[in-house]
Amino acid sequence: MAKAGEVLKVGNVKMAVLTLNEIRPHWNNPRNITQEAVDKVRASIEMYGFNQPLILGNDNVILAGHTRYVALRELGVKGALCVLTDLSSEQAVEYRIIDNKTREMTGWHLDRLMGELRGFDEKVAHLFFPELNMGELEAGGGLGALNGLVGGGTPGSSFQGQEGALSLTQPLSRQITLICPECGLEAKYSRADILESNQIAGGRGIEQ
Amino acid sequence: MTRKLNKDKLGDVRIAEVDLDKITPYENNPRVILEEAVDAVARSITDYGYTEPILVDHNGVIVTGHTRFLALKKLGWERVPVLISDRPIEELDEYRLADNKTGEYSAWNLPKLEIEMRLVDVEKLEPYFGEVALKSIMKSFVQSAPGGIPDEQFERYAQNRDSLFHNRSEAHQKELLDVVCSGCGEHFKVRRQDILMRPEEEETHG
Repeated sequence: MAKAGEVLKVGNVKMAVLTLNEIRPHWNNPRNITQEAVDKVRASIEMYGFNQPLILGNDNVILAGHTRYVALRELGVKGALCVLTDLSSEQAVEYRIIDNKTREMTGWHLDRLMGELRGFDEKVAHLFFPELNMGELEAGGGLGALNGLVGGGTPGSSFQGQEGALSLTQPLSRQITLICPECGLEAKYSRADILESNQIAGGRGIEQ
Repeated sequence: MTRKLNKDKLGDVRIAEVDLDKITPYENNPRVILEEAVDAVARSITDYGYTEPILVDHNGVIVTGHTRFLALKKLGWERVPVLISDRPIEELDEYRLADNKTGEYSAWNLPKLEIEMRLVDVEKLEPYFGEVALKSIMKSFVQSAPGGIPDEQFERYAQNRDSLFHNRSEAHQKELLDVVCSGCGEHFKVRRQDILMRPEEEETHG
């Protein structure tokens, strides 16, 4: 077990336990992270542990693992095991796209999936595979039990935008409300100001 | 500085370098792995390194990383760093499915992908996407916003990119920001990173 701050090198893989505050999401992660995705990943971490380290590039910016990062934050975990790479900023952008793309290139082997799922606790199966029809599955049902899952290799899939996603790196035009601890006044501040300035002053406060 | 870490959530895995032929694919791996996927992953390992170690159970059976395993074989690797989980096999059998499934809950954000693609040499992506798919993605950008992202907007993104990549040090994110209350004039401090992580509110107008 790596101790906090200690860098472990095995073969050509460098790993360390970093606190979440040292880890930075990419400002323009090209994936939407939905709350649903975070919930599933959080459940998986709670049930099966944190088995796959976050992958970081220069300045500890996330290359792979934005959803896990949010899930860990929600779980109140202080730190996480990370792989430290030395990809340049440009390589990092390429890698993020390619990593997500290669993950899409495999698909479900539906017969085997059904075989595996038969051994599952029903609640667990439903948690991760809500589209599953357990009744049909138990009756030895055919592929109809796996309504909606995409089998086989599915290159080029899933290029549809998704709205309403929880994004780590929202547009800089978005605002954030802060409440003054002294007088309780709520005021809005732009993300750009928060990022760029050392001192920010409230815009027009919201009257209580 | 010592920090209290919740070890249960960190290191359910050990890392070790093992002979590639000491690890074995799971006999009932519920994923179909096309040759094309193996080639793409092999290329990615060559171009960007072996960054995501394969996860195996304590018997050396692959939990996640079947495609990486095949890619490394193809590349002729003999020794490979792997993550080893000592959790019960039955749990890891469930995790194998859950892990493949959770990835399906997120999808591309096309406007952001467009920005990312404009930040790099698109030719480098072509071997992974194929020429046809890549062109169709680029075409969808044009359709989603006629003319794509306006140049001036892209310039702003590009500038952000530079400052965010190079000047946004870890210290900057963790730094306390001084806030002046417009009501009472009181100064208070907030940590930049904590508030930037909050869910979004409405757009600024004007």
